[in-house]
Amino acid sequence: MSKHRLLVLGSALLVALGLVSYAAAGSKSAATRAAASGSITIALGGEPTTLDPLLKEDGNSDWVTNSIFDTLLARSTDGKKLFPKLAASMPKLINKTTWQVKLRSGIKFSDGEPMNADAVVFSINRIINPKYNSEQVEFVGTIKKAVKVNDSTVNILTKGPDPVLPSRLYWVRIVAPQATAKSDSASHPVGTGPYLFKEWARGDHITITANPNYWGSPKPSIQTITYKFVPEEGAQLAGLISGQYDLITSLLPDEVKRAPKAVITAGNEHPMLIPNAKPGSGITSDARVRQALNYAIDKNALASKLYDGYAVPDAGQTLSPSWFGYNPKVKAYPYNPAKAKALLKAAHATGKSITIATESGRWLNDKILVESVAQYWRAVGLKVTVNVEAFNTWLNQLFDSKHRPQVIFVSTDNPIYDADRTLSTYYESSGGGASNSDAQMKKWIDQARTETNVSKRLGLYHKAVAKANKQAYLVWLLNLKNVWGMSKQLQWQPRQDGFMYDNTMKLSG
Amino acid sequence: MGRFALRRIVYGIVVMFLVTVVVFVTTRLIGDPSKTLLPLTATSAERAHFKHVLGLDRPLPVQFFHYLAGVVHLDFGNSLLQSRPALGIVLERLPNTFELVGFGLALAVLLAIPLGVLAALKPGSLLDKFTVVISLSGLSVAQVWLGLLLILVFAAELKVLPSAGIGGFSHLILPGVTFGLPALGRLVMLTRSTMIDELNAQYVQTARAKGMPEWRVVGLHALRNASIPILTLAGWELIRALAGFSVVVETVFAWPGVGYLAFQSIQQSDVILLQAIVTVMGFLIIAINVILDVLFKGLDRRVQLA
Repeated sequence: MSKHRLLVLGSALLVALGLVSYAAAGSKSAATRAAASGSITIALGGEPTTLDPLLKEDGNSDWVTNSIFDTLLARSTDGKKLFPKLAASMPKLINKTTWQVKLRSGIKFSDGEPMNADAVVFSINRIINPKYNSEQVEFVGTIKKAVKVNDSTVNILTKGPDPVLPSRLYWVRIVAPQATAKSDSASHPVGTGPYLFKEWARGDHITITANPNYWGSPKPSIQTITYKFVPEEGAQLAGLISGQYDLITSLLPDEVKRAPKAVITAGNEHPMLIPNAKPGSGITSDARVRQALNYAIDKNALASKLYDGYAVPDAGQTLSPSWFGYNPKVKAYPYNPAKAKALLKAAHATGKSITIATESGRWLNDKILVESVAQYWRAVGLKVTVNVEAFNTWLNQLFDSKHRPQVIFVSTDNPIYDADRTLSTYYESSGGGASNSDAQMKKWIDQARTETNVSKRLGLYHKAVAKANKQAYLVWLLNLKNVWGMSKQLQWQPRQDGFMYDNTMKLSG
Repeated sequence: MGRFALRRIVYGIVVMFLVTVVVFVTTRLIGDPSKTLLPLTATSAERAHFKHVLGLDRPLPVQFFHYLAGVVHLDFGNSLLQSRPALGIVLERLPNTFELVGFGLALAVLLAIPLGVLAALKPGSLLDKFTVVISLSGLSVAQVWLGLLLILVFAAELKVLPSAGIGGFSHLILPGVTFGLPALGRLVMLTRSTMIDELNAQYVQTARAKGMPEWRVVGLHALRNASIPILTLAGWELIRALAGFSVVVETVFAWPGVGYLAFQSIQQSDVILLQAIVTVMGFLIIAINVILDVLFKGLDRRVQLA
């Protein structure tokens, strides 16, 4: 045997020995870990910016604070129904601009402060305080102020009639006034929720523990929950497979099979394209062209090929079925390339050029989704250019309604399950992301915003949605599902809005 | 020597001021925080109000003056993302970056010098070829790919090392190796080529002819002369790491260092935090440069201030 071979063989042997001993040590530690009951680790895509639940628009913060704080109203898992939580009953409209909320009595914050009208008034007036500059203001911007009536009754005054107010109360977390006044309240949250804050090791983890005195139900079943911050999807999956994590928040559709367990729910995310429908914006100002753009795309193929089936075609309205305002009579444009070609021909648009602007990476598969759409449009006889812009450039284009690209990609969701924000932004001509000049549409949406009669309001949205669909003001693509990766031991039914209430989690065995 | 050091420091202060100006201007160019931080469905009035409260709607010169006045008092303002002092956040993360960079670079230097010297002793030998191949792969490999590969092998499959995060030595190994390998490659190649040059120099032949033991020839004479380029490269590796090349490794391994923080603040247009990060890092890089320059002067009196 030559020296060469000896060297290679020797080093290979060494490496192998090392690996075997490591593997043995590894499987042992995994086994002891699984046996320890009563604690789980959840991998978040990033570190929460703050644990002040009223300040930031940050999903990672919400995932932690939703288990520490309670809201006045709660929502069913599928999002369809609101019911009282800290409130004793559903809020009542006592005059056009005043909602009255009765509170449950006897509930205390974890520092002993009573959860009463003072706390609720404090929380609501805090989130709307202009100086506080909350990023969540869009969810509560209609509220003028909250006023205490007596210890268990609060009046919420709105700037105009606000039919969406109950949905807004599902958003506002109630904080403890005295604890919040302390300087470290953003890193030491005090709530009434099922879990108590334990520690925040910056950059590494946050730990919460079960609140033994939790007033509500279900009572927390897992004693200790640790949140780790893991931005990279591959690292999240690797940690889930190796048993470091019990729940990961970013599981890619094509990796679902590799996860020990995956749970899928309906979702609120709607990727779509906004064609410029304003007069003088080229071929997209013609409704027939916009309809053709919709007919040309095979939404079912996109859902199955790009999202491995974890998406459904958007029902031609940017609204999920569980949101207020969803119109069940409006359907997605069927895939019909022949009709698309005919419409383009009738509009003298065949062979014309069209440009799509998009960003890349903010949403799952966004760039490849837009490129697939471009391919469908080419197939029906258009010349399509895709401009992939830097995120900030794309943002500027999206918000610049005067110089917006001919077609721009965006994805939208709606955590308060009400059509108002979605339609005001993307349907109403004055909205930040709308590209039409439909005065009637604007009137309906404006009316609906302050219409307190539920069925009248629903009727207005149904009309708006139906007209927008017929006029093809948008090119609707998909409604994505939520995909969660879990360890075998964790039992949990995720929610459509992606909120995480840790007291609904259990360990098996 | 003292005057040399003093001139380097004055020079450093001037550069620091220029860095502050550049940082301010460039961070104002990366984006509008009211667009990135508020939901897409927020109205333009809500965005305008958001910017107003933060003072980001004031003219740039006014903002710059306030910024400069703050920096002098070590007040960089509150992070837009976290709503707490930006400098505190950077200082909180800095030790983590030092830990990663320090471990990775120490690994690289401690392995590179013996490997490079051994390879240089017998150019063309099996050991030399092996070293060159390892080094070239090390410096060519993409860190993202290497990091993910290591995670897959050691975390997901073998389950011997944690895939991400901080805490204990075991967490340091994968990111440290990922970070150190390209530096190792570059350092080995440089040590090897410099040592080959030195060992062929006339003074080495003279030393050998005088009958000096080989370990003294190599270890004291040749290596000392080779040490300036090696030290320069090691310093450059350190500066490179602090100047942002730790971002990739920190992000892949969710390592809570300054690089990962910078990545997040760019993503979210947290201009205040980014300003603090770049200023602090700029300060560190200038300080390291000054120290290295003075150190070189100590090693070789012929070094002149450029």
